[in-house]
Amino acid sequence: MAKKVAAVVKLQVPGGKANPSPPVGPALGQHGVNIMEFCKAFNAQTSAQEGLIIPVVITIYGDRSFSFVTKTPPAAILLKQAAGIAQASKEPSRVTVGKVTRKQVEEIAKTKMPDLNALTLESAVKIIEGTARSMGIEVV
Amino acid sequence: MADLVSALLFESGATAVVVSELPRLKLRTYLPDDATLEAKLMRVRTYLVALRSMGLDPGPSKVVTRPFHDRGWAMRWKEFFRPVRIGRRLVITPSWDAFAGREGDIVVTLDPGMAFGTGQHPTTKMCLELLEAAMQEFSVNGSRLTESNVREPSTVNREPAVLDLGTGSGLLAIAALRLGAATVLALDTDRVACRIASENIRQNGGDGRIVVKQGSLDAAGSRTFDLILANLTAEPLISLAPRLARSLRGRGCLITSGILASEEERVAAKFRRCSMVPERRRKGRGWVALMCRGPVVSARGAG
Repeated sequence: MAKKVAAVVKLQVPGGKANPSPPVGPALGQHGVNIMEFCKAFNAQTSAQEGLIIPVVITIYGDRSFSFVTKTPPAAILLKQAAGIAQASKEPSRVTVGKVTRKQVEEIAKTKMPDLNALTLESAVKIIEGTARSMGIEVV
Repeated sequence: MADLVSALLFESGATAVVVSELPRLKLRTYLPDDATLEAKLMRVRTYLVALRSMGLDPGPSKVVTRPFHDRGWAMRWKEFFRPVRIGRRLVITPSWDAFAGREGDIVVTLDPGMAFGTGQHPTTKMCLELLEAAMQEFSVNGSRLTESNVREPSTVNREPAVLDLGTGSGLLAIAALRLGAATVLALDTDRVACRIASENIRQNGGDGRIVVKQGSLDAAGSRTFDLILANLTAEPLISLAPRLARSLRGRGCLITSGILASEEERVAAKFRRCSMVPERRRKGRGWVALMCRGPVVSARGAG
């Protein structure tokens, strides 16, 4: 019989860097999850993705055991990496802070395809281009 | 939308972000309440307005701050920490539980605090099982005989010297001592883990024979060990493999855990390249633990 789900928690955590301090500690601890066990499992699974932010969905069961699924890094993070910038624009409609090529956008769209509501690569590219504009990153 | 704002929070120093989607999108993070806080919050507010001007209307949005009060959530899982029996004789029990063991039990009492290692996680459990088996070999064979039954000059003591790399709560170090180790060096890079390990060691009467040091393998210097425990993860195990091989005394034992099943081959291949041969293996809930034998007969100095 399937285990009863007690809670679902969504986090964004840097790859390989989960630690029990807030907000991870309180978010999981309030459901009785052994935080260090989550941190160890998450860090093991994402150690190759250090430097990227990893969205993770944690399902907590009635017996306090848990499972988790990691998603692709947010497009905003991949765009910053591709543009080689540390910060997005404070005023994206007026100030451009970096550039990415159309090819880079396509690569990001391909990476993000599993987690986007897009049926085609072209529509995924449009979503990524919109995100780039919202960050003050120009697509060239 | 959530990703854009969350990226901004990470730029502002967030270490993680909690995303709730119902009844409406909410992002939560924790920032230090210092002189830069107000500027960071202002940047988020400005950005939310800017998104509107870009045609991305986040709807009615607000930035709310509240002081963080630790309600003991981080420790709530302790309510579910019960004594656990591992291998033939080991029992790991929380320090707040009045556990009555059976005759012959080796009971380790533990308060893991914010450090890893309760014995409940499969990686620790498998490590303890392999440790018990290895210590049994030491007590039976004394000096660990080689396959050709030649006594190795570097492992003449009946009680082995043990290194616990990444000790966390100190559980493996304490278990090694209780199972017959002569001395244990327990290393952890995390200051909090070192403090917790020291407290647990004291509580289990391991003072003096277990030394806790903050640091990675470098902190062991040129010492060599009959048995090394390393419940880490695949990446550090791979990068440390050559130094682990050098830190093993003769054909001593390396017990590693924290290896995802999907990473096992990569780790085992690296160990083999460093002449450490995987001899035993445990697998549970997607994790693998390996016990390897050290590279060559060596007469390196005692640790």
